[in-house]
Amino acid sequence: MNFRRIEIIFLVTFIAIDIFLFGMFQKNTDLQAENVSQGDSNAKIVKEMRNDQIKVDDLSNKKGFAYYLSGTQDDLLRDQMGQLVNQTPHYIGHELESEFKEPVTVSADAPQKTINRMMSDPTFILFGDEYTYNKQLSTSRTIVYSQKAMGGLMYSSEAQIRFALNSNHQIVSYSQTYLQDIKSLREKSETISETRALIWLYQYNEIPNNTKVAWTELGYTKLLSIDDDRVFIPTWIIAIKPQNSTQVQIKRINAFTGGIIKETNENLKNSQVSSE
Amino acid sequence: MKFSKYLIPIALTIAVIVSLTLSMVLWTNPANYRSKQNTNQNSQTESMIKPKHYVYTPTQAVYTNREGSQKIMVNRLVNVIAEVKKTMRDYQDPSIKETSSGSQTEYFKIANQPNSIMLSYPTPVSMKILNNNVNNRFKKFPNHTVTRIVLPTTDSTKIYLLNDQDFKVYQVKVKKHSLKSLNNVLKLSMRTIPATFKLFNKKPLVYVNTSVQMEPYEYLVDRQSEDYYVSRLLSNDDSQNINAKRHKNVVIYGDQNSMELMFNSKTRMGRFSDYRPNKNRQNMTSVLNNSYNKLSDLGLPLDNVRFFDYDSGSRTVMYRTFVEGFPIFRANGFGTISTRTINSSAQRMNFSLDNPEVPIPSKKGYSTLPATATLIKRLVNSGYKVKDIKKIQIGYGWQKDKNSPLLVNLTPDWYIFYNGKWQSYTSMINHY
Repeated sequence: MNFRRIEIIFLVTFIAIDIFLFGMFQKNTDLQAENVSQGDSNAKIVKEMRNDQIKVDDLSNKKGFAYYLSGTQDDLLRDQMGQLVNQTPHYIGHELESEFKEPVTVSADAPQKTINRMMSDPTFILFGDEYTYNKQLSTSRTIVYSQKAMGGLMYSSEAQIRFALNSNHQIVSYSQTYLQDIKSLREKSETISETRALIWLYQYNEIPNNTKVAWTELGYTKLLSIDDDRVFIPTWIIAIKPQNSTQVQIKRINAFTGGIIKETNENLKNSQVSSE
Repeated sequence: MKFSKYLIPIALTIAVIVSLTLSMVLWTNPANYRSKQNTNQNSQTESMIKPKHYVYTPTQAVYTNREGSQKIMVNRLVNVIAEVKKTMRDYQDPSIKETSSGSQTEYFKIANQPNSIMLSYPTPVSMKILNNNVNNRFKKFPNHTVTRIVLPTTDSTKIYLLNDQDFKVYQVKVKKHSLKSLNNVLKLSMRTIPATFKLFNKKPLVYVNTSVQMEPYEYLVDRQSEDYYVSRLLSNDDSQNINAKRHKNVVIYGDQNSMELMFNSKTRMGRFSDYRPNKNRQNMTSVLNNSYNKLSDLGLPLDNVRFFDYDSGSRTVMYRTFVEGFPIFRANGFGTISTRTINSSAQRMNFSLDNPEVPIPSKKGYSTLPATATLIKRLVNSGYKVKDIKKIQIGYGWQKDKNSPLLVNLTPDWYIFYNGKWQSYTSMINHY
């Protein structure tokens, strides 16, 4: 009867092996089907991200076109601030800071609507029609306008207006920076899609688990400075929000190459020594 | 009792057979080895490598208007040639016939016809290579050599292909299609240079009629490290031992038998020699296709890199980086990458480690280049022989910035292919 017992033990073992192998076989055919049906790996990686508890809205696969841009930082705001009415402007380090003598009352639920109407008035804001309301950067107490450039917006502290609101929905003051002579440096080139940008950010390990992608925007951000000149590149700006926090973290992906852009503020000509 | 006696051995046999079969299937199916890492890496490399039609593209567009006057269309906010090529991807029922051969009159009659755009390659290519630019619509055509494509802007049923070498004209008939997108290209924001397409030294040449204002550029360079190429080109599974020899500015990496990678840190150039057996193909199509594959293996960013020259004698293919539609010439007339098949067991690739990446506003102001006729006259006055001038081309000279290794100055100049070498007009004039 010993032989019969050995037989039973073998049978049980082999059935266990069969189940395991069959499971593996099943998984492999699934994987293959996925590869064939999707053609590319994008959707798979997005799925993987969702498995990592990263909340992502539907992403666009559309590629676009953008430019390398340059702009110059100069003192044009200082030269023209004499024409501003009902405010006391100060000019410090390329930035115009101004307080309203009479606070300007704006609409409570959509302050930008009131401000938009006044932007073309050069006694209220200088070069106002070169800026556009930026929903993503604005909060309930700070309304941000970004400078427009070749079909996009400049996401830069050197090209924006920040209106400070008090609790009575009145603008009490604002600060403004301005870049002059914004022009393209090279013919337009193709940019990567939103999906691709997010996937790269994920693959650089820059999106932690348990987070939400709050918003993504294609804008221009500063790549480098040379004296007074600024070079801007098209960038996918991706805001990431930890699930139990209100603070967003901003990440940048170069929209031409897909490389990650770390925060640097160095001037190219000053950085020469370190790069040697 | 008898039945249950056989039940267990039979069940055991079936279980063993099933497990063996499943194991076999799992081991032999290669798809199972495809790992996630692999797919990720591929997509990243793909975006860096440009498609074949991006590299093997015409590089100059000349527009002839209704009155017959001509101008070179120069990129400003858009790449003019890329825009024209977008209109060439959907030709229906193409058929080709040779309409003339050896007749210069016929050749120029077609090339200079009013209301047309002429796209020119810097050097002749084969039909199979040109075919990449028209979305494979010309795949059934014989493999003729072609230098220029003429697109009439008012006749939607005909396209002409020209071969400079023996003044051949081919007419391609296609199904009637809309010319709206082609005409829209002419409305784009671009710069134009007045020009005339005529004979020079028994060869067709686009003459620039007036002196030209050209903008110098400054670029931030992408400095690729040597390690990048060592790991890309030398790290095969079977070559574990990579040794390095250093001598002054030169470092040589080798895998001891079949491959060698040499870097010169002073000139910032790399050279890759591959002594593995290759197919040693002789015809232009195979050489160019093979060369494109080598480019992909190399992994140098191909942004604005275009095919520039093919020398059938040495089977050398040269690629240059283009700025606003004009090629860059480095010291010794080198471009960006060159590939060469020496024999069935040697192939060589030369490439630059520094390549222009980000344009930077330049404060230098414009420089003026003389008209083509003036340029030729001055060269002759300086003692150069007209018959030795083979090609003339506007280009940018590569000069390292004195202050920063990260910057490069691109200076516009005329480039002349004289005595088998590309030389700048300025250096030729100063030389005498």
